Amino acid sequence: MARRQLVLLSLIVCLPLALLAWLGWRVARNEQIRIRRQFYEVFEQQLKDIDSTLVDYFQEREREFLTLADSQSFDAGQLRESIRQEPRVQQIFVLHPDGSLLHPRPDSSLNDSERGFLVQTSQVLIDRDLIRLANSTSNIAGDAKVALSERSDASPRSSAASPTHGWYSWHWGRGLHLIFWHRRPSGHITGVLLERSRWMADLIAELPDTEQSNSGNDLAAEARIRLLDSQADVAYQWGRFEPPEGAEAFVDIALSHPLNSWRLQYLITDDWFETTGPGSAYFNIVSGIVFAAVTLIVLGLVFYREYAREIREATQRVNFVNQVSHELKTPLTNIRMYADLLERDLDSVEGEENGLALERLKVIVSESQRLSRLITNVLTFARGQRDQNVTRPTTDRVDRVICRCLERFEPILQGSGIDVHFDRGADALVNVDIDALEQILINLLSNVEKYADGSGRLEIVSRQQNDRTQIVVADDGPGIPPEHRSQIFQSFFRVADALEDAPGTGIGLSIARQLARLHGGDLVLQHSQMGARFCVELRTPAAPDGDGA
Amino acid sequence: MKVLVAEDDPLIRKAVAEVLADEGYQVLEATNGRAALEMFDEHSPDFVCLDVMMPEVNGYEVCRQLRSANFDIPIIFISAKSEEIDKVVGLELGADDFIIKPFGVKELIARIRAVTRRCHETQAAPETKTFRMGDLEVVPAELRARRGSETIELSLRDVQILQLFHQHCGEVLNRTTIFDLVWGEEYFPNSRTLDQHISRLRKRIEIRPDEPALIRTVHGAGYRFDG
Repeated sequence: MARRQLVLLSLIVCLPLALLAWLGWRVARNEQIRIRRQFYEVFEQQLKDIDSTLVDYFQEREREFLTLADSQSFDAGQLRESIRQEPRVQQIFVLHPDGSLLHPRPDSSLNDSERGFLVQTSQVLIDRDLIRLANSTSNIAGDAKVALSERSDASPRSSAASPTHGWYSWHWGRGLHLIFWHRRPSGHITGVLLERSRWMADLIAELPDTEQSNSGNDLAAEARIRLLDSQADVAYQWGRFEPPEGAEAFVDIALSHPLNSWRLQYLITDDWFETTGPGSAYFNIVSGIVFAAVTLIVLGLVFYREYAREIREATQRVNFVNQVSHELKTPLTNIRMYADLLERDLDSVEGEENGLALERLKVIVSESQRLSRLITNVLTFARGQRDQNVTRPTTDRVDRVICRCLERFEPILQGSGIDVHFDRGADALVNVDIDALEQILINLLSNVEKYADGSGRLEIVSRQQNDRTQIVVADDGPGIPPEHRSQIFQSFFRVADALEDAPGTGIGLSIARQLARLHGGDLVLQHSQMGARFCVELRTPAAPDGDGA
Repeated sequence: MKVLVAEDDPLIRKAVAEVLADEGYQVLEATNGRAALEMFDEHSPDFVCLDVMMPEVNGYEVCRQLRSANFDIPIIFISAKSEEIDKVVGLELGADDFIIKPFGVKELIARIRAVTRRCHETQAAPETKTFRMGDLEVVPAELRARRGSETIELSLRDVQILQLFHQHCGEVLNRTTIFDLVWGEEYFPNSRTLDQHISRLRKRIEIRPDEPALIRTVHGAGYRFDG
């Protein structure tokens, strides 16, 4: 019993705990994902800011070179002079609208730089890649700024804007090289090849220092930002965090044109989320769950203690009632015995006053019998609670036991104006627990006495077949209201509303049924037109040694 | 028949003794287990009523000692403890029956008679032969009489009285004789006791107790059964 309650209690505690833990885990995970996403957005924005710095740099160069390219005549000497004056320019070249190189002419006398340029750009110029790009939208004049977003790999963006200038990038030797081109109204194209080491140095100068602690940006201090070139080699990096070999970037974006083959990466430590703000949110959730768990367990323990205390108190109460009932037995035996003896004495004395004395004595006898029945019921009930009721069959005739019970109830029933009709049919010698049978019958008869008071008739029918005995006890009293029929065998149930003044404890029928079932039978309420009709069935094997009577 | 009653509550002991004496038994009273064992040795009763809870030596112990000394007489426990476990212990010790407190005179008598019947069955004494008195068949072994289909419960005393009248059919038996033969010499006669007894007996065995046909009153002399 207690074990079952314990299991139930631990279930009640554990199930919500498990649910809570699961929900907490879910919430924590979602929270973590949300936080990561937020930080992703923040870091991505940082990288975009860096990207726009670089874009700004190229826009500035674009303006510079546009002026430069525009002002150029096609004179070689002048061009060479311009190159000398512009440290960012490696070479300036001019293409004829038909694609042939006007400067530096391969067939003219060239300096070292020009020869190197021809080697370096031969692929671009021979393939006419650049000229195709520059002329692809040549028939329409357009906004120069759009050209910045025009991709060098010539993705066919059929924009209405037709650039007159733009960037061209290609790979040669150590890496990426950049050319700014400008198409003049005449169709000639002036190109500026940027000095690679110079623009790279310029870019790096635009970016924060490697060793700088990035004051004002604590996040970057705990992180590392990498600029990767088209070979995925680190071109530049800053931030104090030293990522291990092969660390995955938290945010990874491509740079804008013309460096669109380059990437910017944001790397942070793995435990970054745990050690900073978002980790504490996780901690809050975990501590919340732990708190709820502790509360649940404490509540469970409190309830268990309460329950155990109540059980203990209930047991004590039952024990107390038991004890008191036991203590009542000896005085009650004396009252009953001496009342019986006095009745017997008065019985044999003739006299006028005797009648009245006998009447009064009968009240004492019947009331002490009632008290005995009550005590017996209480003790039987208490034993039943402990599963200690056992039958102890002896050899007797069922009818004889019924007669004895009726004899005991006769004065009371007569006093209540009830006529008893006993239809005998169970006179075989059988094995039957007389005490149990008597207790069942007495409980039924005392119900008749209590509830069917003043109504005409009590009918008892006994029948035997094989090893079964059936006894029907029927009265024509008020009966049992249909809505209570299913409850009358429950302990402590009483049909109280209708019969408030009838005394009783509400255990009689429950005990009677329990005893009948213990005796291999049952006690049921049968349907009847009038009054209450109970049927007791018992297993009564025939006694092996019948006396033939 | 001699009955030993061992019970520490004086009121219960007195009442039980009175009922048993009235039933026709010779009663020996003991206030505790030790006294019960001593009296048993001295008087060797025909059966024993033992209270379970007694000072000095309890009822179970008395039962165990009697059984281990091989006394095969009926033993009835009088117990306030109706717990099943006690019944089991008592029965294992060899008790024949239990009377559970609280009980009344009728329950006590019913149990005592049942045990007496069992005594008669096992002993099959010659005085237990069935005999007839008019239309009444008396079965001493069962402590019962029958008239047609009707069964009448009798006490040991009733049977003894009926046996006496049957043996002295047609003779007038005066009160002293009846007392001496039925109650025994050590019993102080009280004419009312006998008259009461006869009166109660008539109520049960006579068809019309006001005009008795079996045991007739012979005024000034005593009673007579005419056969």
